[in-house]
Amino acid sequence: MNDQEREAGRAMRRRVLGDAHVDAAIKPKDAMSAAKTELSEYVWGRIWTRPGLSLQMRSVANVALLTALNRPHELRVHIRGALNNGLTPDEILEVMLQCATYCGIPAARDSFAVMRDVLEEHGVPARAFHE
Amino acid sequence: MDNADFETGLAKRREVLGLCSTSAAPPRDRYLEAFDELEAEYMWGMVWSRPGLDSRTRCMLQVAMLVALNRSAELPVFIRAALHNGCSREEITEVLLQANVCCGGPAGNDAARIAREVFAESARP
Repeated sequence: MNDQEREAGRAMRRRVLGDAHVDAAIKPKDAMSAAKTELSEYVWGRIWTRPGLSLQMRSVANVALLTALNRPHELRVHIRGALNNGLTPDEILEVMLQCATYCGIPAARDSFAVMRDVLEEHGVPARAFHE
Repeated sequence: MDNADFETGLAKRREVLGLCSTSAAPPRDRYLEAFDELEAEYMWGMVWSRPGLDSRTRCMLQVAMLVALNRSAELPVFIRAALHNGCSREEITEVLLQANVCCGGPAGNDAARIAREVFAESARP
């Protein structure tokens, strides 16, 4: 990975996940952090920046993958990312429903709860779910 | 999908879970409705309502699978459902011991902690 890719990846990570998340993620300075930073620079600099899929589609993939993998903390981060990338709450709901049939109801139910939390935190009013 | 599956599913869910529904508390909204509708038709209507296994057996299977899947939010719901459908505490304990050796010790320990909490909710019948 060259410096240009590394820079593009850093910018992409901030664009998708927001400054607050990235600043908190890179804050720890311990033995693990340098290596972890390298790995995440690869993810963002070499994968997320590829032109072959839109950011919305990459977010759809991530929400589904993290549901299947049972990784609720990372899922929370990427539901925020999906909203930043322009997915609507209704589209995220559709991903969850598809996950319900491919990953199992309990998996989708857990992710659904995370989604509701994130939407609330984003100020999506409860009445939006009734419209 | 035939809407009969949805109706059958709702009835089956009520029968199996009794008062310990997996559904979130009201107020209802269209997001929860979409989710619950899928669960009622697809899980409760099309599978749990099949005659080939009784609900008591399906509850024990569900408990074992939730342990294996590390889905601890629904595990207490189905341990309660197992009790409600005639499984004894001893039988549930046997399921969890088998999960312990099949899914690993940490899975078994988490499940045992949750089961103790559920058992403590009600006096032994």
